[in-house]
Amino acid sequence: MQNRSKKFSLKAFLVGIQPVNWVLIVLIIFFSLASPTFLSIENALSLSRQGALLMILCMGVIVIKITGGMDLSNGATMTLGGMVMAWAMVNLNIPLPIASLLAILTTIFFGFLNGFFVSVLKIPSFISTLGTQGIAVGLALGMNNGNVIGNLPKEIGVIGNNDILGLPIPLWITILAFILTFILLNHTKFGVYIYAIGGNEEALKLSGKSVLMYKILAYAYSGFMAGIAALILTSRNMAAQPTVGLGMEFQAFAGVVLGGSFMAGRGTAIGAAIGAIVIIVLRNGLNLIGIPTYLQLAIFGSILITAIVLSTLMEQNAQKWLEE
Amino acid sequence: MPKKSLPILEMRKISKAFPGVQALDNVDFDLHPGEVHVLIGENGAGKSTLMKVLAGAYTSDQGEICINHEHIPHWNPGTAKHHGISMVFQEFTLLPYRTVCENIFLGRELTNKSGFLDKSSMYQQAEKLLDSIGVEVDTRSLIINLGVADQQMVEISKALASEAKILVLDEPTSALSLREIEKLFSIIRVLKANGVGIIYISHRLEEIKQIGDRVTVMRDGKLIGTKQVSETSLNEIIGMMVGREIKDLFPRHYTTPGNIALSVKGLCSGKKVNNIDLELHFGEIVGLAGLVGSGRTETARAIFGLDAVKSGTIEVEGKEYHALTPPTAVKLGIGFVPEDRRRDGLFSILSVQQNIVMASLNKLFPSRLISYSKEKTTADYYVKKFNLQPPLLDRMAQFLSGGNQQKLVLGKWMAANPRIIIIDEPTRGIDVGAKSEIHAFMDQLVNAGHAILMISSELPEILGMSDRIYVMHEGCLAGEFSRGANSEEILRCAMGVR
Repeated sequence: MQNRSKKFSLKAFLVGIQPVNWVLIVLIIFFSLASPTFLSIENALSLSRQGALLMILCMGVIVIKITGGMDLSNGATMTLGGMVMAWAMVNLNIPLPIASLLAILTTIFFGFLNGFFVSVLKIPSFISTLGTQGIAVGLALGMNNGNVIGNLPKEIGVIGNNDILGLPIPLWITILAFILTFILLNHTKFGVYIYAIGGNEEALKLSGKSVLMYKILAYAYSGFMAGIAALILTSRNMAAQPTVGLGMEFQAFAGVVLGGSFMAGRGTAIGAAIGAIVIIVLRNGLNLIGIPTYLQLAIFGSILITAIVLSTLMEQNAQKWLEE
Repeated sequence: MPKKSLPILEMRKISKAFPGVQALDNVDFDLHPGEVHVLIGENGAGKSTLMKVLAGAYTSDQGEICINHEHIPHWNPGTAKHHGISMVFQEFTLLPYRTVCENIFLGRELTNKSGFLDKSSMYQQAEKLLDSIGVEVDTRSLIINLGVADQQMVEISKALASEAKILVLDEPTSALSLREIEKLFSIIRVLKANGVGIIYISHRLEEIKQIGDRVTVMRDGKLIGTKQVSETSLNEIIGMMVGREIKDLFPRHYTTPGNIALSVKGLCSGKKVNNIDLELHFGEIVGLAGLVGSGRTETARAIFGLDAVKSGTIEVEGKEYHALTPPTAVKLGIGFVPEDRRRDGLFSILSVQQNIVMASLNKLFPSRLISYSKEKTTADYYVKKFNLQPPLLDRMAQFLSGGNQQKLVLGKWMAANPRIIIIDEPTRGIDVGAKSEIHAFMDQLVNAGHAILMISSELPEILGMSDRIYVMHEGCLAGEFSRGANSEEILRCAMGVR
């Protein structure tokens, strides 16, 4: 630890770049060559509308992932949140703001439930969030006998489809969600303890803090993000569909892992955001160049594994390369 | 050292019993501000139990704890922290992927008026703290990128940042090099000057003279004596540490050893095994003595093929190998009973029966199909032979007591009938009854012609059970002794005192 000098070295700089960034650069170059429409402002704006959901879910998942857990329920709770909102508006004539609040409270409740199972009852997060996923899917389907709830008041479409200062509102919300998560993780005690739970739970206990509480809060935060996503989802579709969010949890999890959080105690908000962008770009690009869905899934899986293998190798060898 | 000052800490008549063991028996211990009080004793002497009582992790059965002459009722982790007691354990409690500063402030983060982290103040204070004790570590480095010594310094700084008045250092030098130890000592001197009382647990005698003001020796849960370091000699301390009676605890019947079972020449592996030569005959127990961290376990692991061998040869019954792998070792008839039986020796959620047959499946079931009745007969035989309590075959291994778990691990290996057995700490943390049963069984084994290489940190066990004794010190063989050697000689050899 003698060399405190911070001399700039190109090698150190290049080695220091997370592999997910390389993946993103390669994908962007490839798709802009393969499809003329990929690099257009129109496509970018539509991407930001489509991608908002995934990105916002990722902001919740990263917090849980740093503590060493996972969230398989957020896709389903997001759907349920949308159903609750639409149902309340149609059947009870509840105004939009209160219905939105209801949706967010529902998803936060599920987050607390996850946190309770994981921290108090010590059920592995994989199992407890799989369980709450099932409950949420069941409820969402049951609310309108498996049917879509449509005929919503016109104003519901504003958030999902309008612009502010030329940028889609979902993009603004995504940016806010990112900033909130970034600040939470980097500039608050909450963030420090989240990293501490993942890094060495015992150390946090010894310094006299409640591990239980911060774990529960982490899951509740992911629930909150699922609620925000539910608003955008329902607004964009101007309807609530009981199966729309299925599978989103895996994409969100993949995004976070791609972004460098493949171990408890590791991961950043920026990494998770870039991981999410990779997945959004990949999906969009493959669609534009006309790859069939089944192949998309296979490509998607291969890229995920490649990126993680790459990261692990780089981590193991970074020090060696720098010393050479 | 100012002798007239009031003791900052007094522990009076502390007793603590665990099932089968009196871990602490009427122990008195005190500490003055600005003093380094060395606590010394063999493994199992009760040092860590005493410190756990001090930390509030254990509640003592009897006795009281006073701070500044005032009795504190209901001592618990909270009161311990409140009275400025900080412990640095051998196993660090640091977050590997966080910065030095974040680790130092964990749980006591500074915030500004709006509730956000005040990073610049934290970094400033952390730097000031590290400077004040002369530690040169970048506060922005991640812990994972620091060496063990620097991690140790961060751990100590963390304890200091919480304004410790009493600092407990548990074997702080076991992972440090000579120069790093010097650095640690200079930090300790700074702390002393600031009036911090330090309880220093160590196995290394030479350190007592260098850093200690007083020394307390413990043995078998009892306090043997407290001396001013300036008024005592190393010989006296060693005399206080040993001197345990060897009674029926070690039932040995010595016979003439047979052929060479295992011969290791010039074995090197990792950093802790340097050029080790040793020989093991059938019909004998060879003891491998040394301090914790002297490389004994690593030597055994290298022989068994668990760690990579850099150079050297291993000869098993006359056949020479460069290195073994665990499967070949088992095929050649070598069994390995590991130190940490819970982690490495048992399948804790499998039943006693399943555990016993685990190492001998091929032998018991040549057809590759497991027969429940044969499994049961085999397990039943070893449960009876080892007097496993309770004698229930379907009990999960994790619900057995330490002594019975150890019997289970031994039973597992016996079922595989190895000719050569390596046992790492055969009776650590086991009550006296189970101890003598296990020793009697080891005696039977060698009399039946098996060979045993026994690693032990308990000198009486080494002396009471071994035909021959090798002593290791800092990764090298420091000496070889025959049965009936003088315990002080062995201790000296293990501590590197000439």
